[in-house]
Amino acid sequence: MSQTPLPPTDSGIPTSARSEAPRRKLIDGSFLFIVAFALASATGCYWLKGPDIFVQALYDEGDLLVRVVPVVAGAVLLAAFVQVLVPTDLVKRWLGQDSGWKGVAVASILGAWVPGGPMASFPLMLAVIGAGAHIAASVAFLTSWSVLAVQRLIVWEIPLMGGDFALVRFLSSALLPPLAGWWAAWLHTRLPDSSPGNRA
Amino acid sequence: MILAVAIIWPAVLFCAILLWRGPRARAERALELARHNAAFIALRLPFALLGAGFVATLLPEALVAQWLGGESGFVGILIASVVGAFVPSGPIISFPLTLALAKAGVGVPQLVAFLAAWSVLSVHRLVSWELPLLDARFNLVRYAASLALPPLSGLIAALLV
Repeated sequence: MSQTPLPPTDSGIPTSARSEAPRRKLIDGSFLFIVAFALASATGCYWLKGPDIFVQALYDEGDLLVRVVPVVAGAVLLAAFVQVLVPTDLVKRWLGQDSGWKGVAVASILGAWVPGGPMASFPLMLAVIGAGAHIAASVAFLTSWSVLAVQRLIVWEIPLMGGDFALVRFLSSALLPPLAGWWAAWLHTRLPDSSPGNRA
Repeated sequence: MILAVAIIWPAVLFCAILLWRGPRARAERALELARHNAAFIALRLPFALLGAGFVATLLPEALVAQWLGGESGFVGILIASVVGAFVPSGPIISFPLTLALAKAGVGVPQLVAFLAAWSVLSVHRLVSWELPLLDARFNLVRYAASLALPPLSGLIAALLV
């Protein structure tokens, strides 16, 4: 990567968004959605496919549950520990305003190592984006976190889909974060700066 | 599965040692967070796996294979990219669902595009996290810059397999 400076931008994140993300409730819309999803699909399976296939599916999923629990339990601890341990200031400095395309490269690599879903990782995400990182680096960071997600690869993808599939998918997606950053920088200079109040 | 356990638990142990040697308040915050996350997942995981497993029995395999099978080519990749963006959940549902799709005959490039769209273009995350917390222009630029990514990953996967 060259050191070509990117056109200066601010990341467009209002100061108010730099606070911590709200704490999630144990029973919320997402829980009700998952329960409704399970009940509806269970009813549909029993109704349309009969008790034999229903019981077989129940058995298969119970088996899968037992197999993923040791991994998921570790992942839950790891996500919490990393969230507390990660040196936010260091990450911010690496992705700073002046880092140009080097920032995009670093963001594309670092983002993949941020564990957890949006609830666990948006506080860090907001801190990084809000700290004056260039829009290209910010977009690459968010894209890498979402599409490359090393923890998700270990916890879900390799156990469920197998190592071969995980490798093909990872290689197919490896270039997406820098591409997204590059396109975002291009779009940013061309889209009219219309919406009022989008600068903090 | 064993590989995943062998990777994740040493990492947990390493972080635990760092926390244990660090300030007490930080370690307590980490444990409290872990306890909360564990309760959060424990409530959801059984239902998510059951739901995905039952849905798998209901997938119309002939139809799925026709539209998203290995032979469906770029059209299948595009369909998978659109469908993936609208799956409203975390990995807890989407990976069991992806497994079900794979068993129903969906091709690898289509699965890759599906997962890329689910992660990069997630409408659910856009509405519940990005729109409320990030600014409108950032969201517009990021989303527009990402639209082509899932089909692109599907095409690259087609070259790889």
